[in-house]
This record gives sequence, C-alpha cells and structure tokens, in this order.
Amino acid sequence: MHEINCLGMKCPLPIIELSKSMKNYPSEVSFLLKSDDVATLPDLKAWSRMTGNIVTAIDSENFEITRGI
Amino acid sequence: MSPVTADLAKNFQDLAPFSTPIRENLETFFTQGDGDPRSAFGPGAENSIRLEACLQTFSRVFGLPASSIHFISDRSLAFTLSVLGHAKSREFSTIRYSPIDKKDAIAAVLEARNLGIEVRESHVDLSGEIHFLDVDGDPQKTLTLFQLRNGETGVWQSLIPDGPLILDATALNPRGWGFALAREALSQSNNQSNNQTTRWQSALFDATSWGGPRGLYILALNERASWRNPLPTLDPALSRYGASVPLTLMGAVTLDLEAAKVSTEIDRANAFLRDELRVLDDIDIAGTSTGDRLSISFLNIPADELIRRLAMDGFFLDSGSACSASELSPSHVLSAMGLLTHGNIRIRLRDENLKTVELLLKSLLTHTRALRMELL
Repeated sequence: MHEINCLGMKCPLPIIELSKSMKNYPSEVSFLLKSDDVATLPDLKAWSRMTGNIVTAIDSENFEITRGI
Repeated sequence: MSPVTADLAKNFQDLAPFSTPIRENLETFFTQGDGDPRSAFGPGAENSIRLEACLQTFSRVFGLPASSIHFISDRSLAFTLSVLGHAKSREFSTIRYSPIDKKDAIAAVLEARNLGIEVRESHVDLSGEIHFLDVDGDPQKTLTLFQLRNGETGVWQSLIPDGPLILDATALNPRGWGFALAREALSQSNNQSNNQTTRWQSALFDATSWGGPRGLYILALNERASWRNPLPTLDPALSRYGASVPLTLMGAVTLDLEAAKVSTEIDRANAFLRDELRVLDDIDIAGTSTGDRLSISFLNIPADELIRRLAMDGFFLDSGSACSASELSPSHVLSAMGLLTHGNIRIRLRDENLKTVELLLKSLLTHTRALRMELL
C-alpha cells in the first residue's frame, strides 16, 4: 500500500497529492492517505463519487483508498 | 483593483456595488431618510410616511399584510427573533431544520433546545433537495425551518413540507420561478378561514437577494401565529430592532425594480454556463436550478488560486472553499450535499454582467485547464 503523508496540509492539497499519486503509481491498487485537514473527509466522499475509487476511513486521519475498476 | 472599483459588468460576487438607479439616488436616500421616523414633527414625520410607502411595496410584492412586516438590521437577530419567538410561545414541541440552512438559523434552532424543544436535523441529497423527517405525534406541534432557496448554491426546493413553517426566503429573488411558490406558501394561511394548518409562522427576506443593501432584513410575523419576543425587553414591539430608514428606502426601490424585470436572460446565462462547463472533467455543479446563482466545484483546483487568476482577468467571484473563505472550515452547505468543497466558485448573475458571461466562461476554462496541468 502506497502511503501519502499529507498531515499538516490544507485543502485542497491532500486531494491533489492523492490524485498525483494515483497517476504516478498506476500499478498500485491501494493507497493510505494521512490527512488531518477537516475538509479531507467530505472531499474524499465527493472524490470517490466522481472518480469511482473507493474510500474507507480507518480513523479521522487515515483513509484507505482502493483503485476503482 | 478591488471589487469596489471593479467594472460592474465583471463583478459576479454575491455582494456587488449598488446598481445604477441606487447610486444615482444614494444622496437622496440619505438626505431625505435620515430623521427618526418616530418623531411626530419635521423630517421624522416625513420618514414615517416614507416607511409606510416602503411597507406597502413589500406587502404588495410579497403578498403579505403590511402589519405583519418588520424591518430588522441584522440577519442573526432576525433568525433569533423568528425561531426563538415561536419556540417561546410553547406551541411547538419539535423544530425540524436542514444542514444546508444558514449557520445563524441553525444556531437559533439549536438554542431552542434550551427552551425544551426537541430539535431534528433532516437529510439533504446530492441535488440539494431536503428530505424532512416524518413527524411523530401531532404534526401541528412540529415547526419546520424551511429554506426555499439556498443562497450559496441557488438550489430551489420543489416541495413545501407539511405543517407550520418558518420560511427562510433570504435568497429569494422576486423574478425567480420559485417566487410564485413562496407567494403560494405565504398566501395559503393568510386566506385561511377554516381550522386547517396555519402554514407559515414567520418569513424572512434579505434585501441583498434582489440587489438591495446589506443590513436590511424583512421579518414577517403571521398575525395568526403564536410568537413571544424572546429577547429581554420591556417593550414587546419589534420596532426597536428596526433597520435604518435610508437602507429601507433603498430596499423598497430595488425590490420594485427587480420585481418588474423578467428572468429569461439570467436563466439563459445560467443554463449556458452549466452546459458549456460540462466539457471539463471532474466538476460538481450544484443542483439543476437556474436563476441568478450558480455554484461549481472543480476537482484538483485550489479555489484561492483560481479566484486570483480570474481577478487578474478582471472577473470577481466568491468561493465556498475553506482555502479562500474567511473561515478555515469548508462550506457546510456543499459538505451536507455531498459535493466537492474545494475548488469552489460561486457566480451571481445580474443584468449588468450578462454580456460578459461568455468571456467569464473562456477565462474559467483557460485557468482550470492550466491549473490542472501545473498541479497534476
């Protein structure tokens, strides 16, 4: 699982970093996004709907992303 | 260049400089409307007459009795007076609200819990439609705070919920299609002579929604509804919280002007932007309502940078994203609807800027594409 550490970053950087990682690591199926920004969870939900990727919140700062088919 | 000095035609912000008729008459409003209207002589007495004329204007356009209308200077105060005034009447056991209500409205509702009222939050779907929770027990005991149109996204509600209502019409434009719905909701109970539900308990309007000044809110209290002033006062009359006379005059004049216009061109511009922006991938456009407001979120775009680049082209817009707003939390409205909260812009369409909509679109397409190329 590829880890993306966005702790301390503000919106929209965590989502942009996630999008970049998914583009740069095309063979990677799952990612761990670390973010403590309050906007990350609502944005991940919208991002998941828009892109078809799957988001699972492990806790308030750790999110598992699985690439959609 | 600040928005104040910006070309009116390129200003798509929620609050813009006054339109031409208001600017031309600004001096008159202040020189003729500056006396205390409670005074029996001099300019004050004349202002009583002017305020009465304003009342008649609001009464005619909204279809409400003039005696139900009060001018309030602050929105939070207006919501407090409305929500807590009904809560204090002890007529209601429950208040329903939605998460896309205005924050100061939600704050007033949550405060009602201290008066022993049960508070219930309803669900909002992706399109912005509010799904009010079913009422337990007597429906007449449940008061619903109902936002007819969302000021941030421009989304209209298509159905009016059952039971007693506080109508939040603060984003109501008198030439929008939903205005007829509002008048219908307000007239139902005015004309009611049987024992059915008294629909609206109070209604709140904001002069900025029709191009009027900030600092003028119109609170209409249904004279058949139970209401008690929730604030500590020895004088139960609401006139104590009155807005300034010049602002009230401006509000009435702008309302009259706006109500006389048709919305076709603005609806067409709204639909044009919605259609043309679909060429971009990964965008969220809030709801499907046309009208003078539009909210769009662009994935992987920092709103502050997009707003800055648009400003460099002379276009001024607002945003609901945390990175560009005065607060660090994202828009509670976009979040509740499940829409993307970053990369958000809000567009307010006025007659003055309709001719520049195509240029705005071109600028938007250029900068969003460039930003995505740079950032990804």
